[in-house]
Amino acid sequence: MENLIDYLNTSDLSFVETAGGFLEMTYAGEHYKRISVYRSFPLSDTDEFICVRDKDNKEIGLIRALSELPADVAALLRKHLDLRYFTPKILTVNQIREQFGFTNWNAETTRGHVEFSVRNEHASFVHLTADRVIVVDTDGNRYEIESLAALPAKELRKAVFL
Amino acid sequence: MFTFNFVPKNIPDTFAAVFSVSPESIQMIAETDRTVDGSFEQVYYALTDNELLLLQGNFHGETGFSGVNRPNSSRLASLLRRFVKKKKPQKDKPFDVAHSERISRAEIEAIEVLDQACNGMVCMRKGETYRVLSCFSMNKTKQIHRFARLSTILLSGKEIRPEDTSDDEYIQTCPKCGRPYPDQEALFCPHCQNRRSLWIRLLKYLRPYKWRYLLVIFLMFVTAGINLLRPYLTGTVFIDDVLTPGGRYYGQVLPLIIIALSLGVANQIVGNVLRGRINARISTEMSNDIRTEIFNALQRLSMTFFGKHHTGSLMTRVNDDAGEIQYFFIDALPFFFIQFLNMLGIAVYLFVTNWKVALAVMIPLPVVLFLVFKFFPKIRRFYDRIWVANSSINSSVSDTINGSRVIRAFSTESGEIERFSRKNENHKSLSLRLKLFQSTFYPLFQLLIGLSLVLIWGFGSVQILDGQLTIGELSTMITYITLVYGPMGQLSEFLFWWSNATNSAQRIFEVLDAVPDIADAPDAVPVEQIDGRISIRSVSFSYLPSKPILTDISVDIEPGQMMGIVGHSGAGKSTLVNLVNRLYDVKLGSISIDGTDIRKMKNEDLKRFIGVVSQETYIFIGTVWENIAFAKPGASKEEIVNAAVSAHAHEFIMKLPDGYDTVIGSGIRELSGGERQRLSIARAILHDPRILILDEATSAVDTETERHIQESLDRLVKDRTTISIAHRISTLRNADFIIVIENGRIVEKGTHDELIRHSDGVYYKLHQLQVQALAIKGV
Repeated sequence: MENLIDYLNTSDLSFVETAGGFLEMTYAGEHYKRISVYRSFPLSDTDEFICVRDKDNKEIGLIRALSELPADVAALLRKHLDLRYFTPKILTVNQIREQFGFTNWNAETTRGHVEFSVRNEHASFVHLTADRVIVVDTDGNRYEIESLAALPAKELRKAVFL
Repeated sequence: MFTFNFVPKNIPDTFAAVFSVSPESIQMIAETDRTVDGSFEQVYYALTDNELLLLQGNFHGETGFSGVNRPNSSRLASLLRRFVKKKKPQKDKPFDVAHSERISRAEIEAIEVLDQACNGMVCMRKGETYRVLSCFSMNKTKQIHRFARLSTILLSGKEIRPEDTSDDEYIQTCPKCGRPYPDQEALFCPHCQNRRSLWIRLLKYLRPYKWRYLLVIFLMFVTAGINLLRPYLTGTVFIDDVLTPGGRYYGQVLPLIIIALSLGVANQIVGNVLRGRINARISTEMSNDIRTEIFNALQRLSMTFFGKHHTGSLMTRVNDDAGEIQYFFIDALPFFFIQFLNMLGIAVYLFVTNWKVALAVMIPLPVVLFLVFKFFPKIRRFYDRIWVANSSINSSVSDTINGSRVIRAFSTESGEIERFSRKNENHKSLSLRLKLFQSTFYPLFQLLIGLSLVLIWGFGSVQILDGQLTIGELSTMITYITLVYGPMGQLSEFLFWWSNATNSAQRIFEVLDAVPDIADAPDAVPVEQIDGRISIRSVSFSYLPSKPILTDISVDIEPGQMMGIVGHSGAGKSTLVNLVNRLYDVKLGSISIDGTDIRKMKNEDLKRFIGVVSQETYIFIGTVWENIAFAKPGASKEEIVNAAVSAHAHEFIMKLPDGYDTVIGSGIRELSGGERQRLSIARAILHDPRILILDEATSAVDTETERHIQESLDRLVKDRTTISIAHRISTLRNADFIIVIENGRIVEKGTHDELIRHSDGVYYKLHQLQVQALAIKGV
């Protein structure tokens, strides 16, 4: 089948971060201000099919994989992607308490100590694999559990929908 | 000064101290909880007369992110706090400033919010230059959007007018802990809800039955008394006084048997039959009361609430939760009460008769209690998890049955089988673990109870030999012990029932307490008749603060005029008519009919004036004529048939086996899209509204049917103010004028002939596309 995906030619691509914290891109002789980067698969494939959009949120094209870019450019894009899809990874769970159809979590993450409450329902837990789960709290913030097996089973059992 | 929710009281002073400004000069303060690089740290904004001030740091001794109530106290501490009457007002912790910055207002034109996937950013803008100031987590979304909007008004040198803050984005917070409610419609704080107040509220459901319930409690006393008396009669009295030579009633076997028998009969009749019958009445009436109340509350609530809750979970509330509470009051509570009385009576008897044996009996008690409260909850949690695993299996079964056509079409049966077997495996391993646990736990538990019987035999025999105890007394004691230890396991179930009922109560109150956001204003005026002049003034609306759907829409429709709305899907067309119909309330701006703001009209009147024919027509389970008469309860058969004839529905209705009496509805007899649409038009004709909304009324039908429907619609729109959303532009030829909506704004306005002349316009392009599409179809 003919490939209709609008891939950007990574050899003709350069990015720069402004003092204000935004990204600008030069591609095929054209300069784009305040572009934004999106993941096509924010959960299952974080480094591939990166979509670049202009300041009016119109798609300029896709980057097939960050690995096609020089390491420093890839790191810059990854930084902005991580800001957009902010999801601390849960390193350990100190305590889970059940309360009125909610579970209150007290945990340590890659971004520090967090406390949040999660509704007791299926929708609060997105199972990416049997072992990897995204936890969504009552406000819609996300936390990632990379491996359920690595966390204290005694606490996790209290979240029955997990 | 304008502060947003949950800004601690010492923050204005901290600003004053760090920047040496007077707190009075601060116009607005807002809070975000993450820094520019996304780390968890508080960032406060203060807008003064000439600067924007930023403070970044943490409250002393606190780092990280808190989406729950602070401080995180242990269970013990929170228990203790319940006993201490007055909670000390918590002092705001000092704010440790890590970074501060002042930005002149001259450098800022606007504050803007960028919504990211699951968080957001606050930026300042001057011309085309943007700068990120801080990030925030989802909890702050509403406040930050409001801050951005209001501060931009101040930055542009204007004053904040009352209508700028009229939007309902004001965040309701729990009066106790100050945290915003997770669900703004439910006004329920999961952090603070205390069980006691919940139960006091629940008792209200018992109030209508209080005398009968008291009678039940009295009967329980009787039962408990008889329960205690019988072992005494058959043990102590029978063995020591009747069978033992020299006893008080030696040889009087028959009277004793008669007494024991009549006690048994009395117990069954008074205790069980009578109590059971009274209970049966109370329980059915009570759950009926609760169910009715929830159902009524659901009818009162607005669309926003239903958007947020799953149908399944709401149905559970109506059905299961009411039952759960009834079960608790009628079955669990009396059971617990009787057991408690039994234990108390038995303990008294044991200690009075022989305290040494009584003490011996108590030896295994701590271990038993420990097991009961430690392991039974564990078993209960197992059941919970199995229930979850089971429902997951169920949903996958129903998914594959509903999607069977797709599965067969792509022949992915094996994948589905694998998915199912994985869930099944999970269920199996959980069930196995539970069964293994139970197979070990229950026998050991029984063993322990057996042990206490051995203890009583041993100690009892020694006491008998010492002449301290009679054989009859020992026999009574043994029966008593089985009475106490037997239901011990179920006693721990009481905690389970209690927590179940508490959860159910909480879910029920969440519905009952939900505030309908579309409610009649207290000063709502009844309106008898209208001409049908609609004026929409600077209306903006969003379902989520981060995604504006409509921006600054203004348009007037004169009585009897027809306005067409055109635009791409998702442009906001349906939202606009939903606002006119008041399924949702406008956030900013106003919509009025004949000069009266629709929010000041009685909802009932409004719905009487407005009729809707939409792309989705819901058919209730019932006969055809009931479904049409839905629009006008009490309509005569003639009116109904007439409406059906004008809607071109009569023909297909007559082809149904029972004509207008045919029962239709989901799962009984499905109608085709075109048929449903025609029923919906018949409903609207019968309703006879002054204002008619056609929301893609001919979307679900083929061209031939469309022609029929168009005829009936043309008849329907005559002399009515009509708003028509059309996906086929051709249907709007008769419109007095057409508006084109793109990205929530009106981009073009005029008659068909005027709009078609602008060859660079959106309308022209849409029209061309459709003409081409029709041409292709024609080939």
